[in-house]
Amino acid sequence: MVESSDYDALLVIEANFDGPPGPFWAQLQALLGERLREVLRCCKRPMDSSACLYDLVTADRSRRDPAPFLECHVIHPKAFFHGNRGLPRERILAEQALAEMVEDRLKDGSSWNGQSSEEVRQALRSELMPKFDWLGNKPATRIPLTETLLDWLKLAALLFAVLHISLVPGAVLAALLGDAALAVLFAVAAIPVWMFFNRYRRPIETVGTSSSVTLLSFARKNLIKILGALAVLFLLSWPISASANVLARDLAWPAAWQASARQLAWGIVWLIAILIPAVLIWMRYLERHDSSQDGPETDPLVLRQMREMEDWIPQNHMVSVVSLRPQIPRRAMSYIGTPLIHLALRAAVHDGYLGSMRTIHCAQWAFVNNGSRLLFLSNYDLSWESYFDDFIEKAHEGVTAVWCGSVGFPPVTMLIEDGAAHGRAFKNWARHSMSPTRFWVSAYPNLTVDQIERNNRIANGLCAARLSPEAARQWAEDL
Amino acid sequence: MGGRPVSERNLDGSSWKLAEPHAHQVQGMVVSGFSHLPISQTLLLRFDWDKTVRGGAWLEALAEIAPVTPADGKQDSSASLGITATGLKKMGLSDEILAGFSQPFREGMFQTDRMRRLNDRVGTQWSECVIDGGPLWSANTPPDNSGEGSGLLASLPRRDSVRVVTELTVHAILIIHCTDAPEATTWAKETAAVLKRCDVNVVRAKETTLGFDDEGMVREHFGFVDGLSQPIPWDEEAVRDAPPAPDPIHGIALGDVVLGHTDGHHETTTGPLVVPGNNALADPDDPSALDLLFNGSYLVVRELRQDVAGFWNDAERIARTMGTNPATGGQFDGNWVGERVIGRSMEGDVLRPDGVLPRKPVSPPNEAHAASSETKPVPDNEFLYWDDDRAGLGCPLGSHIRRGNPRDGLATKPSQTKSLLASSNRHRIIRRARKFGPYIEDRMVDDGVERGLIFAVINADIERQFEFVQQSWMMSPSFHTLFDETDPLLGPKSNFSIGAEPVRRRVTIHNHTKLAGGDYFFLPSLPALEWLSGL
Repeated sequence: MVESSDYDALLVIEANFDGPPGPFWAQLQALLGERLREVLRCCKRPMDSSACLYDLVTADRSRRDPAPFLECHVIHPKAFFHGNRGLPRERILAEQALAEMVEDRLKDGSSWNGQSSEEVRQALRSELMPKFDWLGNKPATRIPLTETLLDWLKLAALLFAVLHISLVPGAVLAALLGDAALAVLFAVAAIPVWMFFNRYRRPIETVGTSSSVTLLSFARKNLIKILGALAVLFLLSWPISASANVLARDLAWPAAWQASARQLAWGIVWLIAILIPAVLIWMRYLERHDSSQDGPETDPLVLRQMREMEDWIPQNHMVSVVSLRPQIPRRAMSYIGTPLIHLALRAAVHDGYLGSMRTIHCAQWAFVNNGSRLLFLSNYDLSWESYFDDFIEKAHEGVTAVWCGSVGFPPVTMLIEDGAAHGRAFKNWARHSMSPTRFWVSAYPNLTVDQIERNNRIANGLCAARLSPEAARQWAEDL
Repeated sequence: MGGRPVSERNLDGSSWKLAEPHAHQVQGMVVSGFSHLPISQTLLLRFDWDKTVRGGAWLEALAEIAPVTPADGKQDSSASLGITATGLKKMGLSDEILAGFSQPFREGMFQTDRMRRLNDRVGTQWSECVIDGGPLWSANTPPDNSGEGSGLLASLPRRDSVRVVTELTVHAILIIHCTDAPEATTWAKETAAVLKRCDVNVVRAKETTLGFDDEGMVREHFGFVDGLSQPIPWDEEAVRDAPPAPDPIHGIALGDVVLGHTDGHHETTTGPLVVPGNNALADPDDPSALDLLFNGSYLVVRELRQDVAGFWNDAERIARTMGTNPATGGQFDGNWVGERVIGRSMEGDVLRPDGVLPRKPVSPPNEAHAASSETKPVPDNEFLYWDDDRAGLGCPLGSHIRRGNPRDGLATKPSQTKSLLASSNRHRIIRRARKFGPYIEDRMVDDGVERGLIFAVINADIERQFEFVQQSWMMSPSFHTLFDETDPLLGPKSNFSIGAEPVRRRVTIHNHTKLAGGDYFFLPSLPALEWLSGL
């Protein structure tokens, strides 16, 4: 239940599950159906077409399954991060049982003296094989190559769409004007833009946290990749642009190729020299005029309720809802940036690390209330304090990028700098946005992300018929 | 003991000093371990005055007999003072001013949720790491029930709520440091008499010492050289002769130990503003207003009792079950086990896969250490874990020093070492522990004498520093992908894994260090003390 002074309370049911949704709904219905009906009876009747369904489900003595009504209100996260991706619950539990059995067999470790790691592994393998017959199989690939390729493809497609649309104005101008006129025009525009950019790109005095990673240093570090991406952008845009020339200007194909190459080159110049710095100046203007909330008051009773639910097991849960700032570039950044971050994380992160932190089981960001608020749900390891310390110390750039468009967020510079690096301000802001998690079930309550990975390494190692001495030694370090 | 103690460099923090005006304002205890004043008296005070008495009167009396010493130079004796939240309240500090102090301080160490996080008490049971019957003393902070009994949330059942009341209520801690025991005893007696006249009673007193051995090293009761590793605070302006950059291994922001300076999370704590003679928040524009927290700090005190014979008998028992040591061909012994528990040798050298880290030869004495020409090499504390002992084959992953400060050891890839060292350092604390009780004669035979450690920690953010270390490192069963084990020195009975080849050794170790009392104290700056004495 998320309560706020701006909206009616929001009932959030978070479900992270393996497999297709069909069986999930059936299980939810079987387990909680009648209770959910009671809960739904306390909810407001929706104004959209699901209202009839709502009436049917909540009517007195109704026996209608509430799941279809809930299904009408499913919101898929715009960004989802899964720490132990590719490991279904069954496998996690099986590997935990195996790891426990291994520990049990190893006892205090003294009886293995004098043996090599590989001998230990072989002995355990043959001893445990009858109990865990799957040790004979090759472990299933956690993330199939096709899935990864698809993620990269999706990421590239989204990036391409955004960049291609952005360079159209420059290319159109190039079609209308000659090179000399364009050069003058762009120079006249670019010089003040870059002057302003240079003037405003740095943090305001009280905001700067001397972050080691700035947007510019990030760009410099990835210069080769950026140049490569621009080259790809050029190549992919070329046929589109050439077709546009054939259609709109009635050119023959050879001429169209040539003309579009020139237009695209100018388009990219426009993108780099004018559009991106101009948008960043706009962002900087907004950032410099933002109202952040320095010390938001958290209701002491709500805070107490959150805290008394926390730290009973190694895992904790949190829910936070924040309002989004209204300006166009902000919203555009949130709506486009969040899916981009989602795809980038899926494509590039396969070992559960966000920066150098690995304590997140499932985290998701979704837009609720018609896109006016950002919902964040997370199942994480260790205490809330340590989770946020990790955010602040190990991943503040990414965290800032995701939340910088939110009302009250600590002051930000250039999208990723400062912001969450303001430790206490960020923590206060986050606590203020949270509501107590009233009910929460963990699929494997006693395991941390790190331990699940460790169990997985132990299991994978035991599945192998033979390991090199070095690999076996590394495997034994996990025991 | 001839000459200066060799561990002074670490103990009294002579590697950093405060610049003026801060040195005049900050309490000496923050910058110095007072290794030249090895004997101290720790007095726990309770305010017993009635309503007619002025809350600041006792501070005026105290200033006559035991003035709190600033951090501006070496003194022949020294006094440090911390006050609990209940103490400040008893002194009459208004609620609106108290609200400007940090939440953990206001709630106290024995708030329900905090006890669970610190592993002192879960649900209705005291943990095994607390003495039987629960702690003897605390600030006895009443739980904050504001807002309860009204509103929508009030009807929900409470998951965990308990009010802990200890036998002794402590409102302040006074630590006096002297060169010898008679001086300390006399001074403590005189001070107690003066305080008594102000209706301030000493409810618990302990003679505490640093305890140097023949080599000039500080040893705690189990026999280990202690106090070797301290952070080195850095601030461009407020630290005197600050080097251009913080120490690469032990550098932290000054704001992490002294309030009002930039801290490790790029923030500056501002406290409630007050003006002399007015127990209400001051006009923020008033140029004479004093920030009550500025140049103060928070002091965490935990009185820990050590069962020395229990520890060493346990270590011997474990050693006997471990069979022969493949490295030496001989039997494992108690020292071997005890050293793994700590992560350092008895002499203080960190354990490495091939023995211990060799000591660096002593560099020629410079002017700051002119008297130390006779010093021998001391344990090298400038080490990291990633390069030399990633898997914990020397210093076990779950050993006390690795849990207390994992340095870069939590990294799992080379690219993470820098950021993990930096993030570990955001949780560092300054330790000012001193021990009470005599050393044991025979470490295998329980003599029934009470002994232990007054564990004292200086930090600016109790949650991010002391509590984080205790909860997420010391007591976390999932620290460093370990499982089902906690700190082998402080934690309850649990497994303890000792890295070895081909596979780790795993032993069960019992608890021999128990909490006997403690709480959070505010360590006011000298100007703040002066204001408080006007209450």
